[in-house]
Amino acid sequence: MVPFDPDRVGRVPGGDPPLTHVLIVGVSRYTFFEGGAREGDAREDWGMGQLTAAALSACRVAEWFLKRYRNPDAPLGSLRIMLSPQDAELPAEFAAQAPVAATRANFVRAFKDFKADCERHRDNVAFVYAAGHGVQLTKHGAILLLEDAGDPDGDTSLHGAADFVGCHRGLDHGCSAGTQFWFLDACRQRPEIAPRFEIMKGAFVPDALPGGARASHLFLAASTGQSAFARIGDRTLFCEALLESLDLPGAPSALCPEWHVSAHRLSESLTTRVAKLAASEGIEQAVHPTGNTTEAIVHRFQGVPKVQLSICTNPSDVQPHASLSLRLGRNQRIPGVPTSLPFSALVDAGIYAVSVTAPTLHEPYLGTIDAKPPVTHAELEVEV
Amino acid sequence: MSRAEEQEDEEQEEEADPAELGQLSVSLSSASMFLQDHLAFDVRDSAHRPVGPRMRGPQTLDLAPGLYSVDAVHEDGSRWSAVTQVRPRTTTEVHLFGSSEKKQPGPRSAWVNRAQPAWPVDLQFLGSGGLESCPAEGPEFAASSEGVRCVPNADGSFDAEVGRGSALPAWACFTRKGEALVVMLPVNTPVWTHDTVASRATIRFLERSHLRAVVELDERRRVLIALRSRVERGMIGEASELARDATALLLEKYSDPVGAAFGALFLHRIKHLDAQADWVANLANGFPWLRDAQILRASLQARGSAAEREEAFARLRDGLIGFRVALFAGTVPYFLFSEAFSLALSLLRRWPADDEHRDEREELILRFAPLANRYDYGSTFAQLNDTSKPEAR
Repeated sequence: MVPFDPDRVGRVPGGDPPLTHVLIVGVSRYTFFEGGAREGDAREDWGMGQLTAAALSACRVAEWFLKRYRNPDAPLGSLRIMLSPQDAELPAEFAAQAPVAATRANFVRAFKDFKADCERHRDNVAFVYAAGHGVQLTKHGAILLLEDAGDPDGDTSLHGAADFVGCHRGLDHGCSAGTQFWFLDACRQRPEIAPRFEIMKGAFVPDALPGGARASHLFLAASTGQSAFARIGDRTLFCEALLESLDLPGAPSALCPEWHVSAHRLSESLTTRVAKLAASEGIEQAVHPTGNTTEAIVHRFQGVPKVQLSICTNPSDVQPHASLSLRLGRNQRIPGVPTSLPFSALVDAGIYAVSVTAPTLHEPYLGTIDAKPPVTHAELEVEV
Repeated sequence: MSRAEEQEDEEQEEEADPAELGQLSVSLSSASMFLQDHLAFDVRDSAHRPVGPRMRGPQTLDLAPGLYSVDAVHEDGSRWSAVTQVRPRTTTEVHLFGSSEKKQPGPRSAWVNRAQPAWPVDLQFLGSGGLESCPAEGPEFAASSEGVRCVPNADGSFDAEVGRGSALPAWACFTRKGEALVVMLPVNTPVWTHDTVASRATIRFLERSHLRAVVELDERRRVLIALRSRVERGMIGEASELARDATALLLEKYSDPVGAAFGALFLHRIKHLDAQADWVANLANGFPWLRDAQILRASLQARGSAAEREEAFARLRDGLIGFRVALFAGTVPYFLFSEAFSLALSLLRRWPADDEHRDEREELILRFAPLANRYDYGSTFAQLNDTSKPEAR
């Protein structure tokens, strides 16, 4: 599967240390749906068309894993990606590698290999992200339609589909990756179509095995229609919210001494961000967190994250003659930061004691600022 | 270095002795004794490192002098954070309030004794029903107009207030421009509690392309409100902690089986319900009309022996075809929570023994799956849209 060079992420040949394995699927091009290369050959008319951003969104998620993902306990070990893009949808670096198409046959093969990798170590971490047409009648199930959905040569009506929740169950067992994160970024189908899928057989689903992972988070997100799925030519709304959330560090905790993204904070961030993004587009989209939601670490940051801290005073006319002092935790003076107001600089996240002196101030201003990433703005109410 | 900075440095040196600890006293007040003891908070140092595990209830901590933050989640789900300074040999107090805002009585309270305003032209109340209108053995609710009032807002919109008087509706139906909306209501009724006032709820209609509403609970149902706000905001950690503690309490002490069912449905969704199987059984047996609890019980029993699966299937089938709301062109099952309907369909589709009741399950799926498109899964309390012409019964 491409694009992935194991040497770039330090896979240990022959060894089996805990690793992170990633499976990514993005389906924008549907051969047998309206506008597809063989739309006239479809087994039946499902009334579905082409998508514009699912494959691109999958690329963006893959890029994030290749460039930003960090987990010292289970570094990135494999990344499988299947893409069925529209013409010119993919970024050049992905298009140049002739990505594997997201067909049923390729999905089954990739999933089995991915499953085998995950089962090599109990401390492995598994990530699955899939974007494309979906069928979701309940909060508890979802079917992902692959490029060859509707293929008249398929064994059943749902031959070109994968039971996403069934795949989640198939990997959530006692001998698989102990920590798992699943994301389904689906364009939910129109109401007339969806009920038929509940009794149709044939979507790919692996066998369920006993036991369970320590944590196996499943985030199901379904937009209410094709137009709500993504901005044209851009990422899906869910992908945008996911990538923003993955780059939003949370403070150290009892579970992780480093700044990190935890599964619980990711759930909260995804839920609120997707709702906010959807509202800004005048649509509705909800995220449904489910699965075994025991707390787990998704991503770790190296060192203390920087915060874009800006400080001003109210009233503002004292600023030209004022002097600012920042101390981290009251003790540590911060060298090299400006002392003038208004203040704007990148500083370490933390709680700062702040003081402002100026000839026109009744008395020096003393206060605190909790600088949290990515941006913190403080307006200091000073007495003139 | 300015003189002010020099003074600061001198102060720091005086305070810098780590042996000279100070105290941070954190307390929380809520109108709910339960939440007062159960809402959690974190204390972090100036580098945002936790100074200990998550805490609950009043706490006094011995800490080195410095700056600290106290972080908590309000009852309404909003996050709250305060920065404070701990000084040597001094106790610093931080007080958290359960609510993020104090609700002031507004024009709505004054409206209570006035005449009933007319419903707006484009939004009509069609009917409502309550448990008391349903004979013990009867399968359907009858419609009535009791217990639902139109409330005009200052911005020109309208809400519906439910739960006044003794006829407390379990659901209400509205129409707008040919579209019908049934809203299931999380009422408490005099059937099991004398506190009818706390049964009030407000249906707030949203500006959407389709008829849609949000159900707001009477603020005295604080535990359910706190739980719901966490679930709806995706706060699975905070929600699961609260649900584990609150559901048994809601069932046994406060007699809010609706709240208990909501907590249990959430715990089921995140696979944390198995340990609570006993009180799920109590909930299902004690409140047979609460179909959500029957489905939950069925989902747990379905993983048992063949005999247990038989009982589970009977519960599942009865849950779907038992109490119904008959305002649509057809009828809809009476589930308070969309999650319960979703779980029922999911159980039918993924029955643990695939060869059991296969034909009957398929028939039920075909019958009820079309309803899934009318459920608004973004809404906690079940609400169904229908563009077919509704007829009141």
